[in-house]
Amino acid sequence: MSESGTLTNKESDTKILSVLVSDPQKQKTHSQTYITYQVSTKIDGKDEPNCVVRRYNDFVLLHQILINDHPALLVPPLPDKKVLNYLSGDRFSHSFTQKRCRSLQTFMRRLLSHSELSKSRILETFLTSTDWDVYRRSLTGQISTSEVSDVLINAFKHVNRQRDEFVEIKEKSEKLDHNLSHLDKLFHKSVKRVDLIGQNLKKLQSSLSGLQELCCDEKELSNSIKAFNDGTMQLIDSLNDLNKYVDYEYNVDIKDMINYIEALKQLIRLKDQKQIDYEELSEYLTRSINEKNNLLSGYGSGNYFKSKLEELAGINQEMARRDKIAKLETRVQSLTDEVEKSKQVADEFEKEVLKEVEQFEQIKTLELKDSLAALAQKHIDFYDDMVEKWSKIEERLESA
Amino acid sequence: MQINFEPMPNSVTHLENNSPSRLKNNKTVEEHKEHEPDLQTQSEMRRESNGSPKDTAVTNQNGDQPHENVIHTQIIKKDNPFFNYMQDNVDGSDENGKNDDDDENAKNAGSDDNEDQLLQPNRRKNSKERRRSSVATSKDSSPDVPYNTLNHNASGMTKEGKKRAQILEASKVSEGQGRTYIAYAIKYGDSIVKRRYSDFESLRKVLVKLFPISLIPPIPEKQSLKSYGKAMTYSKSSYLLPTESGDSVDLSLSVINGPVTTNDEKLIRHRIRMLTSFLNRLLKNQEITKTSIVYDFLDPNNKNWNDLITSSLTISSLPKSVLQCNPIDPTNTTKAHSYLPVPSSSTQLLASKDNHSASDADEFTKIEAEFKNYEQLIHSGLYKYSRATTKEVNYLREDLKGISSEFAQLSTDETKNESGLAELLSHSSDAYGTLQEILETLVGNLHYNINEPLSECAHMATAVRDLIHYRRLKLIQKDILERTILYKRGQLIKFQQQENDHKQIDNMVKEELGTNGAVNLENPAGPQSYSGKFINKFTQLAIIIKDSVSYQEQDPAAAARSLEKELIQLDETLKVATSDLVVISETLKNTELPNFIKERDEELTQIFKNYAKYMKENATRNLEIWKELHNRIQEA
Repeated sequence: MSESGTLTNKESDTKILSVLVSDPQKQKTHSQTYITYQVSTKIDGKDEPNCVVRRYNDFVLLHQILINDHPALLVPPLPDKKVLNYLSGDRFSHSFTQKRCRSLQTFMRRLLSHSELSKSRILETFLTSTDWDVYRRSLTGQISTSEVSDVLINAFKHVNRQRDEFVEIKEKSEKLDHNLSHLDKLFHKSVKRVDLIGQNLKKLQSSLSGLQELCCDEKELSNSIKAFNDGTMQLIDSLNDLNKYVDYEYNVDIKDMINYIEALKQLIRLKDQKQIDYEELSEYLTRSINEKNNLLSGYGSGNYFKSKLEELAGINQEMARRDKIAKLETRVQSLTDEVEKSKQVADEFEKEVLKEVEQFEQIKTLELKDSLAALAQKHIDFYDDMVEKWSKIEERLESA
Repeated sequence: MQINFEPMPNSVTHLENNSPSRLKNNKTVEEHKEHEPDLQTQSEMRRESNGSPKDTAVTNQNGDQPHENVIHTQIIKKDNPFFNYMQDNVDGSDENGKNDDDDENAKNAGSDDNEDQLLQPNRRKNSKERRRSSVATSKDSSPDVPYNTLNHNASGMTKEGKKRAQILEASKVSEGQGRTYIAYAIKYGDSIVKRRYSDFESLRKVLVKLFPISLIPPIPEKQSLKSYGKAMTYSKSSYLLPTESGDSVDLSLSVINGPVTTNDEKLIRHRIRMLTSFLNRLLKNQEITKTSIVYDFLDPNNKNWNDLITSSLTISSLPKSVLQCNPIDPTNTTKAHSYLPVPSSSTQLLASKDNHSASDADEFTKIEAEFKNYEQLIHSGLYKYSRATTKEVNYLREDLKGISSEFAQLSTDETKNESGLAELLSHSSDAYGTLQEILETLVGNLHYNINEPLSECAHMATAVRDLIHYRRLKLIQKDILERTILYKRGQLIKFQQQENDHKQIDNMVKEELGTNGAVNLENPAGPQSYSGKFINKFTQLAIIIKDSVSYQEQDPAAAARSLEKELIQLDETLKVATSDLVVISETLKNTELPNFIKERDEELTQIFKNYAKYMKENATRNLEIWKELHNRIQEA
């Protein structure tokens, strides 16, 4: 685990070393069927890992609470709900639960890698508490599920003054998102391809069996066929295993990384929102000050007809003017406060986000490296095995 | 007959001495005149004078063609594939018809000696090369099998048997009027001859006719020539192939080193490969190499193969149907063969559909089923799925290429990151690039050294099934013959009975006439003038006569006689058919099929060995790349 995973828990001084999400199990109650995952936490000073059983909805709740509690932090995303899988009933399939398990593991790992989030109390409760269910029920209804609604309101407004850093960050995450999506597609394609290769090899292998049967009288040939056939069968099995790994783990990692970038982009949009709030307020303030200044300086060119009309209506112009100036003055006063506040918020947020981006970069690098290493290791195992097996087959063919 | 062979006194004597298999010599003068280029006659004579007694034995293949009332008359030695090939191609220029016979002979004799000396080192070199290529596990079809050295024929044959044909190049040749074709330059020994696809096709057709019970190797199908010719216009007009690949048909190197870009190139290479293999299988065949036909094909002096074939009387006078020839030596077809019934296509279809209903659940029924199964397994099993796998591997290769460039893109976007991620991604990109190259090698190996040979195996399987089918047709033929004879016999008995009846009636009539001498049959006065008893008998007689007449408009006696004659003929034919069938069955069972199986087993084993080798190589190289990548990740 990374160094951030060993951070001391602020609340209870519990040192969480690592978390393992594993063993997806199908649970059936009288009313519903769902999958549970075993979450085992290694805590410093304890030999035995602390094990709890959680279901996907528990993770969702944890995620929600974290977002509510830490709006300025990059809370790692959860795997998609995959509504389609729910509809088609595939959500209990082996591949689906395996992939989700992998994603949940990544989620936990990211939380632990995060300097702030790993210290959160709710995480500890989630990981260790046997009363989680009680806690969950007490919270029901309090947590809003609209994660993004406030950000979406102003989705079409853009920040006027953008710091160069953020321009770069945005550009970079866009590119990364784009490239990883491509990579994801390609790896999926290759998985399907290898699957087809496996299928064809299987058919080839059954033809070989047929041929072997047919040529059973010719000892030499049938021995050769048998040797080759054995090799093909082993190849099919190992290839299948390797392909499953790529599909269930490596591809899921890429997908999770794409989701993580999405979360980062979301956070930046939230930051932009704060900035937009501030910018709008300052603009309003400027306008109010201008108006007040115009009134103070006597008349504005645009106000000529208006004042004439008011004069005709018998309104005391001077009185109204003074009244207006007074109103504007209070507005400017309060707006100045607001602008000050929102500027603070925006600046604060920006600082936080910059820190988050930095953390994201670290986690990203680590993850990409780790999953590549694992991918390489799997391939090494596969080809090591293949070299050995085919060498044996070759020997058998030579001696046949 | 004497007239015909007058210009060739040698052959006359031979003919008279060695013509055991000839049934009839009713050669007609017209036939002889039919084709009479002087130079051919001269060259015949020249060769004839060189010929051993064996050739002349074969010379007399005067198969009768009774239907056309024409029998093979003149045998042109040059064309006759059963002619023992004595001279080397280099100097046997047939166009030099003006040359004195004696001069030619002298020249030939001299060059023969020279050739022997010249070829000695060559032969040694060849065998060395062969050894080398087999050590390097050349994937080609059984390169380790020593080429048939034709020990049985210790004459000039041996040196020919050692050589292998090699197609060096395929080039586009204009035929005029905008038409082009692909010419294949075949190197055989020191000579190079150009032949086009249709030449190979006609060679194979002729061989199938000449050697009905030999396994004639397949040639590639005629396919998609349209696109092929078109693409040739736009691409290079010549495809050079490695010439120094020893005596194996190993084209793999050129393919791996220079990737094939178009399907046309693939097709041409496929053809070159298969045609080379075709020629070398022919050169290995002991039966076929007893004749000169393959050597004639490889002889650059025979500029136009098609003309040679069409002008050859030996070939044009072969029976139309292979089922009506002497299976052991079609040029020596007897008259009896011409009476053989040719099963109609519907009968053939029926026979091929259900083998077991026929009266012959013999041992060949099992063999037939086995070889059918084998063809199926190779063609629609091994070959099909190996090809499909290769195709998918090739697509996977493209995917890996994409992954490589995607990693490269990711890497360039990370260059500002100081965590070393950029280098890591760049290594991954390199690794995937190399993996892609490794797969490319694998795809090339699989395509040229696994799939192509498997396709050839499938073609061979079809050829062997055709051969077995030929026997099946001969069996059906015999069956038809037997049934015909049975039927005709029945008819004969009927006729004989009728004849007896006639005789009885005659006797009766005579008897009646004897008793009532007054009756005048010439002038029948009317029934009332006869006695009731006689009238009765007379009408009975009339009915019998009427019956027999309506049954057979012929005189039963004459019909019986002709039937008897026909039956003798048929019996003769049946005898031939029966003995032919025995020979065919024996040849198939004892020679052709075991030979095929032996060769096939070697080829398949070689293919499996190569497959295993490629898998291992591929795994080894992949392992290296992944290990390297893994190390780099750990270092980062």
